Amino acid sequence: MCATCGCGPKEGRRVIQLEQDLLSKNNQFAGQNRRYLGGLGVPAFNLVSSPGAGKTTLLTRTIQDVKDRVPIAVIEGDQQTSRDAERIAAAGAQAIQINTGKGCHLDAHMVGHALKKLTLDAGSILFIENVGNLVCPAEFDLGESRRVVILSVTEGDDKPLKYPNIFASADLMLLTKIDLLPYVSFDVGRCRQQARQVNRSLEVICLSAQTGDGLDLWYEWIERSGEELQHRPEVDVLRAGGRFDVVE
Amino acid sequence: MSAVIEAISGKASEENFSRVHRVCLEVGQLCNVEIEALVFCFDIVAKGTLAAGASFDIASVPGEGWCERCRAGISLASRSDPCPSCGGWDLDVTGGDRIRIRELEVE
Repeated sequence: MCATCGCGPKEGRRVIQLEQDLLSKNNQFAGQNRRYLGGLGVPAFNLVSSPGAGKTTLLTRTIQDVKDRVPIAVIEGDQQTSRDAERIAAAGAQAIQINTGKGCHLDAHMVGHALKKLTLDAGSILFIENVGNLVCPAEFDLGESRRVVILSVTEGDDKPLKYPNIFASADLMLLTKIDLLPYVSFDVGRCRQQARQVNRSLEVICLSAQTGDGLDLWYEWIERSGEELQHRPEVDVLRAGGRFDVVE
Repeated sequence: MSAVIEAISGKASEENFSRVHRVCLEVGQLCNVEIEALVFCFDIVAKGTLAAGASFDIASVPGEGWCERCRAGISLASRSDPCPSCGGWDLDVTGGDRIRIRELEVE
């Protein structure tokens, strides 16, 4: 029945109940990715931000600092060019570039294809650098273990309230470029408070990839998240050859 | 919007229809979607498919949340809003954050 006026179908026509989530297909692929990565014991971090927040710079610094201890793989999403993947490869990590063309976000299907091209050994870490955009990537689960929203202090401290969905969907907020705080009117306390208004369990770390301030907290967070993933009961089930709650 | 067309095409052979006249969508108040833009895109994406020219019937679903301080369900117009009862922010979104295709009128 029509939701506007309650009228029924015209003659010769019928109504089919679908009750289908618009993102159900994406969510199925995300489930497959999560199961695949969970089986390998590889934690995956989906990095989202606006363009220019410093995702690639943070990643290259992270790779240089930890690659001797942990192998790192990166899936790079951009509309055009493979510049970021080249920067990542030069820093010493395995990198796959996805060009979304006109698309403004990565989806789980694209990530699934990229996963097939990567060699992921147990004990490695995967970063997925999403297309720079604070809107659409919020809606697309890629099968990551954790979502990290990155906000640079040059962007303004009111972004969490302006773009609440992406901050609501994240596990961690990284405030980057804090070495520039003396030159901009960015109130860290206010930003943190607004972010917690839209997501009360959001963790926050302030850092600068240039000076290295706060990077130790970021690395500890990555390590802790990886350990939590290893101790999730469904991972044990996977290792034993079983299945868990993922739709095929 | 191509997800709507995909979902419709998937159902066409299963349910044996060749034309879609009406698509009924349920859009949550808290999801990231501008309804006008959605309908505009659909018209373009649907061209040349079995849903070409279909009308839209959109049911808006109010946002719902849970306030930890009040220990009660609340209504939420936006993710940036506080609890309407206590003014606090200890909130979790519990509904009105999805888009669903509710039903199709087909021939």
